[in-house]
Amino acid sequence: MLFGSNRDFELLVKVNRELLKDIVEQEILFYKLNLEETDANIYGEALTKTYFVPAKLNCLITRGDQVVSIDDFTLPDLQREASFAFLRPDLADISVVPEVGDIINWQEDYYIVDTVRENQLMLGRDKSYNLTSYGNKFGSSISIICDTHMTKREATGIDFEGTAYL
Amino acid sequence: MADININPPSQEELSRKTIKPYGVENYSGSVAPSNNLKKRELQRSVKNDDVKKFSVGLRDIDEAIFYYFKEVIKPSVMQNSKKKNVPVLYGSPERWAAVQKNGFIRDRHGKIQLPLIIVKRDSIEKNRSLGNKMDANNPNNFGVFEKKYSSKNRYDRFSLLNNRNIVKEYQGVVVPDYVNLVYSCVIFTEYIEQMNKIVESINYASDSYWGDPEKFKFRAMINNYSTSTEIAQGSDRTVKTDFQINLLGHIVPDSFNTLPQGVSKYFSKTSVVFGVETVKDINNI
Repeated sequence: MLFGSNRDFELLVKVNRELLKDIVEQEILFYKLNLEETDANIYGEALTKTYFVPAKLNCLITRGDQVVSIDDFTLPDLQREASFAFLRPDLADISVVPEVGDIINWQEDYYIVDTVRENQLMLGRDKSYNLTSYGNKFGSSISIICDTHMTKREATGIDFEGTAYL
Repeated sequence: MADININPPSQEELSRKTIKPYGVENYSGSVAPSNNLKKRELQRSVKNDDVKKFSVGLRDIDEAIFYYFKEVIKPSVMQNSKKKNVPVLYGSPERWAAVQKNGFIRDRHGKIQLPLIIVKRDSIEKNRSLGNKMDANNPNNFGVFEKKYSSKNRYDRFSLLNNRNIVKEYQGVVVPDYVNLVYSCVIFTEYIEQMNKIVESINYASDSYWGDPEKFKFRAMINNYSTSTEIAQGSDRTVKTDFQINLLGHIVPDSFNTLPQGVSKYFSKTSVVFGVETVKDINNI
Protein backbone atom coordinates (compact mmCIF):
# COMPACT_ATOMS: atom_id res chain seq x y z
CA MET A 1 0.00 0.00 0.00
CA LEU A 2 1.17 3.48 -0.82
CA PHE A 3 -1.46 5.86 0.45
CA GLY A 4 -3.25 6.46 3.71
CA SER A 5 -0.39 5.55 6.01
CA ASN A 6 -0.20 6.62 9.62
CA ARG A 7 1.91 9.66 8.65
CA ASP A 8 -0.75 10.77 6.17
CA PHE A 9 -3.37 10.35 8.84
CA GLU A 10 -1.41 12.37 11.36
CA LEU A 11 -1.13 15.20 8.85
CA LEU A 12 -4.88 15.06 8.30
CA VAL A 13 -5.54 15.15 12.03
CA LYS A 14 -3.21 18.12 12.49
CA VAL A 15 -4.94 20.13 9.77
CA ASN A 16 -8.39 19.27 11.11
CA ARG A 17 -7.44 20.14 14.69
CA GLU A 18 -6.24 23.52 13.54
CA LEU A 19 -9.43 23.99 11.57
CA LEU A 20 -11.69 23.09 14.49
CA LYS A 21 -9.74 24.90 17.19
CA ASP A 22 -8.57 28.10 15.53
CA ILE A 23 -11.01 28.73 12.68
CA VAL A 24 -14.37 27.10 13.38
CA GLU A 25 -14.03 27.51 17.15
CA GLN A 26 -17.19 25.73 18.16
CA GLU A 27 -16.87 24.34 21.68
CA ILE A 28 -19.03 22.05 23.74
CA LEU A 29 -18.82 20.29 27.10
CA PHE A 30 -19.17 16.53 26.87
CA TYR A 31 -20.67 14.87 29.97
CA LYS A 32 -19.95 11.16 30.25
CA LEU A 33 -22.14 9.21 32.66
CA ASN A 34 -20.39 7.56 35.57
CA LEU A 35 -22.10 4.18 35.55
CA GLU A 36 -20.51 2.98 38.77
CA GLU A 37 -21.97 5.92 40.68
CA THR A 38 -25.33 6.00 38.90
CA ASP A 39 -27.79 3.35 39.97
CA ALA A 40 -30.71 2.41 37.78
CA ASN A 41 -33.95 1.25 39.39
CA ILE A 42 -36.09 -1.57 37.99
CA TYR A 43 -37.61 0.81 35.47
CA GLY A 44 -34.19 1.61 34.01
CA GLU A 45 -34.11 5.14 35.32
CA ALA A 46 -32.07 7.09 37.82
CA LEU A 47 -33.45 10.03 39.79
CA THR A 48 -29.91 11.18 40.44
CA LYS A 49 -27.22 10.85 37.83
CA THR A 50 -23.49 11.21 38.27
CA TYR A 51 -21.12 12.32 35.54
CA PHE A 52 -17.40 12.40 35.09
CA VAL A 53 -15.78 15.83 34.90
CA PRO A 54 -16.95 17.22 31.55
CA ALA A 55 -14.51 17.50 28.68
CA LYS A 56 -14.30 20.63 26.57
CA LEU A 57 -14.09 19.64 22.93
CA ASN A 58 -14.01 21.35 19.56
CA CYS A 59 -16.43 20.01 16.99
CA LEU A 60 -18.56 20.81 13.97
CA ILE A 61 -22.15 21.46 14.91
CA THR A 62 -25.02 20.92 12.52
CA ARG A 63 -27.89 22.79 14.10
CA GLY A 64 -31.52 22.03 13.56
CA ASP A 65 -34.11 24.76 13.84
CA GLN A 66 -35.98 25.42 17.05
CA VAL A 67 -39.41 23.85 16.81
CA VAL A 68 -42.24 24.45 19.25
CA SER A 69 -44.53 21.46 19.41
CA ILE A 70 -48.10 21.71 20.61
CA ASP A 71 -50.51 18.88 21.13
CA ASP A 72 -53.76 18.41 23.01
CA PHE A 73 -52.43 17.45 26.41
CA THR A 74 -49.07 19.07 26.83
CA LEU A 75 -47.83 22.60 27.03
CA PRO A 76 -45.97 24.08 24.06
CA ASP A 77 -42.48 22.66 24.22
CA LEU A 78 -39.24 23.64 22.54
CA GLN A 79 -37.56 20.93 20.54
CA ARG A 80 -34.33 20.98 18.64
CA GLU A 81 -32.03 18.47 17.04
CA ALA A 82 -28.32 18.85 16.51
CA SER A 83 -25.38 16.80 15.31
CA PHE A 84 -21.93 17.13 16.82
CA ALA A 85 -19.03 15.87 14.73
CA PHE A 86 -15.85 15.19 16.72
CA LEU A 87 -12.39 14.42 15.53
CA ARG A 88 -11.91 10.87 16.76
CA PRO A 89 -8.28 11.31 17.90
CA ASP A 90 -9.46 14.20 20.14
CA LEU A 91 -11.74 11.77 21.96
CA ALA A 92 -9.10 9.05 22.05
CA ASP A 93 -6.61 11.45 23.66
CA ILE A 94 -8.90 11.97 26.66
CA SER A 95 -10.26 8.39 26.66
CA VAL A 96 -13.87 9.34 26.03
CA VAL A 97 -16.13 6.95 24.14
CA PRO A 98 -19.41 8.66 23.21
CA GLU A 99 -22.42 6.46 23.80
CA VAL A 100 -26.15 6.79 23.59
CA GLY A 101 -27.43 8.65 26.65
CA ASP A 102 -24.40 10.89 27.19
CA ILE A 103 -25.00 14.62 27.47
CA ILE A 104 -23.55 17.48 25.42
CA ASN A 105 -23.78 21.02 26.72
CA TRP A 106 -23.77 23.68 24.06
CA GLN A 107 -24.78 27.29 24.69
CA GLU A 108 -26.21 26.26 28.07
CA ASP A 109 -28.60 23.88 26.35
CA TYR A 110 -28.34 20.18 27.00
CA TYR A 111 -28.44 17.59 24.23
CA ILE A 112 -28.78 13.89 24.83
CA VAL A 113 -27.02 11.54 22.44
CA ASP A 114 -29.48 9.45 20.39
CA THR A 115 -27.11 7.86 17.89
CA VAL A 116 -23.37 7.55 17.59
CA ARG A 117 -22.09 7.26 14.04
CA GLU A 118 -18.54 6.26 13.19
CA ASN A 119 -18.47 5.83 9.45
CA GLN A 120 -15.81 8.14 8.04
CA LEU A 121 -12.69 6.12 7.32
CA MET A 122 -9.55 7.45 5.68
CA LEU A 123 -9.43 5.81 2.24
CA GLY A 124 -12.17 3.47 3.44
CA ARG A 125 -9.80 1.61 5.72
CA ASP A 126 -9.64 1.28 9.49
CA LYS A 127 -6.34 0.16 10.91
CA SER A 128 -8.04 -1.29 13.98
CA TYR A 129 -9.81 -4.00 11.94
CA ASN A 130 -7.37 -5.18 9.30
CA LEU A 131 -6.59 -8.82 8.74
CA THR A 132 -3.31 -8.31 6.87
CA SER A 133 -0.02 -7.95 8.70
CA TYR A 134 0.62 -4.47 7.32
CA GLY A 135 -3.00 -3.32 7.57
CA ASN A 136 -2.55 -1.64 10.92
CA LYS A 137 -0.32 0.98 9.27
CA PHE A 138 -2.90 2.29 6.83
CA GLY A 139 -6.19 4.11 7.14
CA SER A 140 -8.05 5.13 10.23
CA SER A 141 -11.40 6.23 11.55
CA ILE A 142 -11.54 10.02 11.34
CA SER A 143 -14.69 11.18 13.03
CA ILE A 144 -17.43 10.31 15.48
CA ILE A 145 -20.75 12.01 14.89
CA CYS A 146 -23.33 12.22 17.67
CA ASP A 147 -26.91 12.85 16.66
CA THR A 148 -28.74 14.44 19.56
CA HIS A 149 -31.90 16.14 20.64
CA MET A 150 -32.37 18.89 23.19
CA THR A 151 -33.30 17.57 26.62
CA LYS A 152 -34.51 19.07 29.87
CA ARG A 153 -31.76 20.34 32.14
CA GLU A 154 -33.57 19.12 35.27
CA ALA A 155 -33.60 15.58 33.90
CA THR A 156 -29.85 15.62 33.36
CA GLY A 157 -29.17 16.80 36.90
CA ILE A 158 -26.33 19.00 35.64
CA ASP A 159 -25.72 22.43 37.05
CA PHE A 160 -23.78 24.56 34.63
CA GLU A 161 -22.85 27.23 37.15
CA GLY A 162 -19.22 26.96 38.19
CA THR A 163 -18.60 23.83 36.15
CA ALA A 164 -14.97 22.73 35.99
CA TYR A 165 -13.93 20.89 32.88
CA LEU A 166 -10.99 19.08 31.34
CA MET B 1 -66.03 50.31 66.18
CA ALA B 2 -67.12 46.72 65.70
CA ASP B 3 -64.56 43.99 66.07
CA ILE B 4 -63.60 42.34 62.86
CA ASN B 5 -63.10 38.59 63.07
CA ILE B 6 -59.91 38.04 61.20
CA ASN B 7 -60.14 34.27 61.67
CA PRO B 8 -63.43 33.21 60.14
CA PRO B 9 -64.45 29.61 60.78
CA SER B 10 -63.23 27.04 58.34
CA GLN B 11 -65.55 24.92 56.28
CA GLU B 12 -64.90 22.00 58.62
CA GLU B 13 -65.85 24.08 61.68
CA LEU B 14 -69.02 25.27 59.97
CA SER B 15 -69.90 21.68 59.08
CA ARG B 16 -69.35 20.44 62.60
CA LYS B 17 -71.74 23.01 64.02
CA THR B 18 -74.53 21.61 61.91
CA ILE B 19 -74.12 18.11 63.34
CA LYS B 20 -76.59 17.32 66.08
CA PRO B 21 -75.95 14.01 67.89
CA TYR B 22 -79.01 11.85 68.32
CA GLY B 23 -80.73 12.04 71.72
CA VAL B 24 -79.01 15.20 72.93
CA GLU B 25 -81.47 17.95 73.64
CA ASN B 26 -80.58 21.60 73.28
CA TYR B 27 -77.31 20.80 71.58
CA SER B 28 -75.39 24.02 71.24
CA GLY B 29 -72.94 22.82 68.65
CA SER B 30 -69.98 23.59 70.87
CA VAL B 31 -69.07 19.93 71.46
CA ALA B 32 -67.12 18.35 68.65
CA PRO B 33 -68.37 15.10 67.14
CA SER B 34 -66.78 11.86 68.19
CA ASN B 35 -64.32 11.58 65.33
CA ASN B 36 -62.47 14.76 66.21
CA LEU B 37 -59.00 14.23 64.82
CA LYS B 38 -57.32 16.22 67.57
CA LYS B 39 -58.38 14.12 70.53
CA ARG B 40 -55.44 13.94 72.88
CA GLU B 41 -56.43 10.59 74.31
CA LEU B 42 -56.17 9.02 70.85
CA GLN B 43 -52.72 10.37 70.16
CA ARG B 44 -49.80 8.02 70.77
CA SER B 45 -46.17 8.88 71.01
CA VAL B 46 -44.00 7.26 68.38
CA LYS B 47 -40.84 7.84 70.38
CA ASN B 48 -38.55 4.80 70.18
CA ASP B 49 -41.05 3.19 67.85
CA ASP B 50 -39.32 0.68 65.61
CA VAL B 51 -42.33 -0.19 63.46
CA LYS B 52 -41.98 1.19 59.99
CA LYS B 53 -45.10 2.76 58.62
CA PHE B 54 -46.82 0.17 56.49
CA SER B 55 -47.08 0.92 52.81
CA VAL B 56 -47.36 -1.05 49.59
CA GLY B 57 -46.66 0.85 46.42
CA LEU B 58 -46.77 0.22 42.73
CA ARG B 59 -43.06 -0.29 42.78
CA ASP B 60 -43.46 -3.13 45.30
CA ILE B 61 -45.89 -4.79 42.91
CA ASP B 62 -43.57 -4.29 39.96
CA GLU B 63 -40.68 -5.69 41.98
CA ALA B 64 -42.79 -8.73 42.80
CA ILE B 65 -43.15 -9.46 39.09
CA PHE B 66 -39.43 -9.09 38.49
CA TYR B 67 -38.55 -11.16 41.54
CA TYR B 68 -40.74 -14.00 40.36
CA PHE B 69 -39.29 -13.93 36.86
CA LYS B 70 -35.70 -13.80 38.05
CA GLU B 71 -35.79 -15.98 41.18
CA VAL B 72 -38.60 -18.48 40.60
CA ILE B 73 -39.29 -18.93 36.90
CA LYS B 74 -35.65 -18.27 35.97
CA PRO B 75 -36.24 -18.43 32.23
CA SER B 76 -33.30 -19.86 30.30
CA VAL B 77 -32.58 -21.21 26.84
CA MET B 78 -29.96 -23.39 25.21
CA GLN B 79 -27.98 -21.38 22.70
CA ASN B 80 -24.89 -22.68 20.89
CA SER B 81 -24.90 -25.66 23.29
CA LYS B 82 -24.73 -23.37 26.29
CA LYS B 83 -27.38 -22.54 28.84
CA LYS B 84 -28.17 -18.86 28.75
CA ASN B 85 -30.32 -17.02 31.29
CA VAL B 86 -32.92 -14.77 29.75
CA PRO B 87 -32.67 -11.18 31.01
CA VAL B 88 -35.93 -9.54 32.10
CA LEU B 89 -36.12 -5.78 31.68
CA TYR B 90 -38.71 -3.08 32.13
CA GLY B 91 -39.80 -1.56 28.84
CA SER B 92 -38.64 1.83 27.56
CA PRO B 93 -35.89 2.64 30.03
CA GLU B 94 -33.87 5.83 29.85
CA ARG B 95 -31.47 5.93 26.93
CA TRP B 96 -28.31 5.73 29.02
CA ALA B 97 -29.67 2.76 30.96
CA ALA B 98 -30.84 0.95 27.84
CA VAL B 99 -27.50 1.24 26.10
CA GLN B 100 -24.84 1.73 28.77
CA LYS B 101 -26.13 0.23 32.02
CA ASN B 102 -27.82 -2.71 30.30
CA GLY B 103 -24.97 -3.08 27.87
CA PHE B 104 -24.79 -6.80 28.63
CA ILE B 105 -27.72 -7.44 26.29
CA ARG B 106 -25.81 -5.89 23.37
CA ASP B 107 -22.61 -6.58 21.52
CA ARG B 108 -19.82 -4.00 21.47
CA HIS B 109 -21.39 -2.12 18.59
CA GLY B 110 -24.81 -1.89 20.22
CA LYS B 111 -26.72 -4.70 18.48
CA ILE B 112 -29.24 -6.30 20.83
CA GLN B 113 -28.65 -9.98 21.52
CA LEU B 114 -31.55 -12.35 22.18
CA PRO B 115 -33.31 -13.90 24.08
CA LEU B 116 -34.94 -11.13 26.05
CA ILE B 117 -38.12 -10.52 28.03
CA ILE B 118 -39.60 -7.04 28.26
CA VAL B 119 -42.22 -6.23 30.90
CA LYS B 120 -44.24 -3.05 31.07
CA ARG B 121 -47.16 -1.96 33.24
CA ASP B 122 -50.13 -0.97 31.11
CA SER B 123 -53.02 -0.12 33.35
CA ILE B 124 -54.37 0.00 36.87
CA GLU B 125 -58.05 -0.48 37.53
CA LYS B 126 -59.68 0.00 40.91
CA ASN B 127 -61.32 -3.11 42.31
CA ARG B 128 -64.24 -2.01 44.49
CA SER B 129 -65.56 -5.51 45.12
CA LEU B 130 -63.02 -6.50 47.78
CA GLY B 131 -63.09 -3.70 50.32
CA ASN B 132 -62.93 -0.02 50.77
CA LYS B 133 -61.39 2.42 53.18
CA MET B 134 -64.70 4.37 52.92
CA ASP B 135 -63.27 7.88 52.94
CA ALA B 136 -59.72 8.94 52.20
CA ASN B 137 -60.15 12.04 54.37
CA ASN B 138 -61.17 9.99 57.36
CA PRO B 139 -60.15 6.34 56.84
CA ASN B 140 -61.92 4.62 59.72
CA ASN B 141 -61.98 1.21 58.09
CA PHE B 142 -58.71 -0.44 59.03
CA GLY B 143 -57.05 -3.73 59.77
CA VAL B 144 -55.10 -4.49 62.93
CA PHE B 145 -51.74 -6.20 63.31
CA GLU B 146 -50.34 -7.28 66.65
CA LYS B 147 -46.70 -6.57 67.19
CA LYS B 148 -44.85 -9.71 68.13
CA TYR B 149 -42.65 -8.16 70.76
CA SER B 150 -43.15 -5.12 72.89
CA SER B 151 -40.43 -3.65 75.06
CA LYS B 152 -43.09 -3.12 77.70
CA ASN B 153 -43.17 -6.92 78.22
CA ARG B 154 -39.47 -7.32 78.79
CA TYR B 155 -40.15 -9.24 82.04
CA ASP B 156 -42.44 -12.02 80.97
CA ARG B 157 -43.50 -12.91 84.54
CA PHE B 158 -44.49 -9.33 85.20
CA SER B 159 -48.18 -10.24 85.40
CA LEU B 160 -47.61 -12.44 88.45
CA LEU B 161 -45.94 -9.62 90.37
CA ASN B 162 -48.31 -6.82 89.56
CA ASN B 163 -51.55 -8.59 88.75
CA ARG B 164 -51.55 -7.14 85.28
CA ASN B 165 -51.81 -8.73 81.90
CA ILE B 166 -49.02 -8.19 79.45
CA VAL B 167 -49.45 -5.24 77.11
CA LYS B 168 -50.17 -6.09 73.52
CA GLU B 169 -49.15 -3.51 70.99
CA TYR B 170 -51.36 -3.11 67.95
CA GLN B 171 -50.85 -1.24 64.72
CA GLY B 172 -53.81 -0.09 62.70
CA VAL B 173 -53.36 -0.22 58.94
CA VAL B 174 -55.89 1.31 56.64
CA VAL B 175 -57.78 -1.00 54.28
CA PRO B 176 -55.80 -0.83 51.06
CA ASP B 177 -56.98 0.20 47.66
CA TYR B 178 -57.50 -3.06 45.82
CA VAL B 179 -56.45 -2.76 42.21
CA ASN B 180 -56.26 -4.92 39.12
CA LEU B 181 -53.07 -4.35 37.19
CA VAL B 182 -52.30 -5.38 33.65
CA TYR B 183 -48.73 -5.92 32.48
CA SER B 184 -47.75 -6.35 28.86
CA CYS B 185 -44.87 -8.71 28.28
CA VAL B 186 -42.96 -9.59 25.16
CA ILE B 187 -40.54 -12.47 24.81
CA PHE B 188 -37.97 -12.26 22.04
CA THR B 189 -35.93 -15.30 21.04
CA GLU B 190 -33.86 -16.40 18.09
CA TYR B 191 -35.69 -19.71 17.64
CA ILE B 192 -39.18 -21.10 18.20
CA GLU B 193 -37.77 -24.02 20.16
CA GLN B 194 -36.32 -21.60 22.68
CA MET B 195 -39.62 -19.74 22.81
CA ASN B 196 -41.54 -22.93 23.58
CA LYS B 197 -39.47 -23.58 26.69
CA ILE B 198 -39.92 -20.06 28.03
CA VAL B 199 -43.67 -19.98 27.41
CA GLU B 200 -44.06 -23.38 29.08
CA SER B 201 -42.33 -22.24 32.23
CA ILE B 202 -44.22 -18.95 32.44
CA ASN B 203 -47.54 -20.64 31.76
CA TYR B 204 -46.88 -23.09 34.59
CA ALA B 205 -46.45 -20.15 36.98
CA SER B 206 -49.73 -18.57 35.99
CA ASP B 207 -52.54 -18.31 38.57
CA SER B 208 -50.13 -18.46 41.47
CA TYR B 209 -48.93 -15.81 43.86
CA TRP B 210 -45.94 -13.94 42.51
CA GLY B 211 -43.48 -12.06 44.67
CA ASP B 212 -40.75 -12.21 47.23
CA PRO B 213 -41.86 -14.30 50.25
CA GLU B 214 -40.05 -11.80 52.48
CA LYS B 215 -42.08 -8.91 51.06
CA PHE B 216 -45.40 -9.04 49.22
CA LYS B 217 -47.03 -11.60 46.98
CA PHE B 218 -49.81 -10.96 44.50
CA ARG B 219 -51.93 -13.30 42.45
CA ALA B 220 -50.93 -13.22 38.81
CA MET B 221 -52.88 -14.72 35.95
CA ILE B 222 -52.00 -15.15 32.30
CA ASN B 223 -54.74 -16.11 29.90
CA ASN B 224 -53.24 -16.30 26.43
CA TYR B 225 -50.04 -16.04 24.46
CA SER B 226 -49.74 -14.88 20.87
CA THR B 227 -46.62 -15.94 19.05
CA SER B 228 -45.46 -14.50 15.75
CA THR B 229 -42.54 -15.38 13.55
CA GLU B 230 -41.53 -12.77 11.00
CA ILE B 231 -38.90 -12.33 8.36
CA ALA B 232 -38.70 -8.82 6.97
CA GLN B 233 -36.45 -7.57 4.16
CA GLY B 234 -33.21 -6.22 5.56
CA SER B 235 -33.73 -7.37 9.13
CA ASP B 236 -33.27 -10.51 11.19
CA ARG B 237 -35.90 -13.18 11.62
CA THR B 238 -37.80 -12.49 14.82
CA VAL B 239 -39.67 -14.90 17.05
CA LYS B 240 -41.89 -12.95 19.41
CA THR B 241 -44.56 -13.86 21.95
CA ASP B 242 -46.89 -11.32 23.54
CA PHE B 243 -48.86 -11.99 26.68
CA GLN B 244 -50.50 -10.05 29.46
CA ILE B 245 -50.22 -10.60 33.19
CA ASN B 246 -53.41 -9.76 35.08
CA LEU B 247 -52.40 -9.16 38.67
CA LEU B 248 -54.56 -8.62 41.73
CA GLY B 249 -52.76 -6.04 43.81
CA HIS B 250 -53.34 -3.68 46.65
CA ILE B 251 -51.90 -0.28 47.43
CA VAL B 252 -51.34 1.56 50.70
CA PRO B 253 -49.52 4.78 49.88
CA ASP B 254 -47.12 6.30 52.37
CA SER B 255 -48.87 9.64 52.39
CA PHE B 256 -50.00 11.27 55.62
CA ASN B 257 -53.73 10.75 55.19
CA THR B 258 -53.39 6.95 55.11
CA LEU B 259 -53.04 6.90 58.89
CA PRO B 260 -56.25 5.48 60.36
CA GLN B 261 -57.60 8.32 62.43
CA GLY B 262 -56.26 8.08 65.94
CA VAL B 263 -55.58 4.35 65.91
CA SER B 264 -52.33 3.91 64.05
CA LYS B 265 -50.93 2.52 67.29
CA TYR B 266 -52.66 1.43 70.46
CA PHE B 267 -52.24 -0.95 73.39
CA SER B 268 -54.36 -3.66 74.93
CA LYS B 269 -55.88 -3.26 78.37
CA THR B 270 -53.56 -4.56 81.05
CA SER B 271 -55.97 -4.32 83.92
CA VAL B 272 -59.55 -3.25 84.50
CA VAL B 273 -60.18 -1.32 87.70
CA PHE B 274 -63.65 -0.78 89.11
CA GLY B 275 -64.08 2.22 91.37
CA VAL B 276 -66.54 2.20 94.25
CA GLU B 277 -69.53 4.43 93.90
CA THR B 278 -72.62 4.63 96.00
CA VAL B 279 -76.04 6.08 95.43
CA LYS B 280 -78.70 6.97 97.91
CA ASP B 281 -81.59 5.88 95.78
CA ILE B 282 -81.42 2.97 93.36
CA ASN B 283 -84.12 4.55 91.28
CA ASN B 284 -81.91 7.55 90.49
CA ILE B 285 -79.40 5.57 88.49
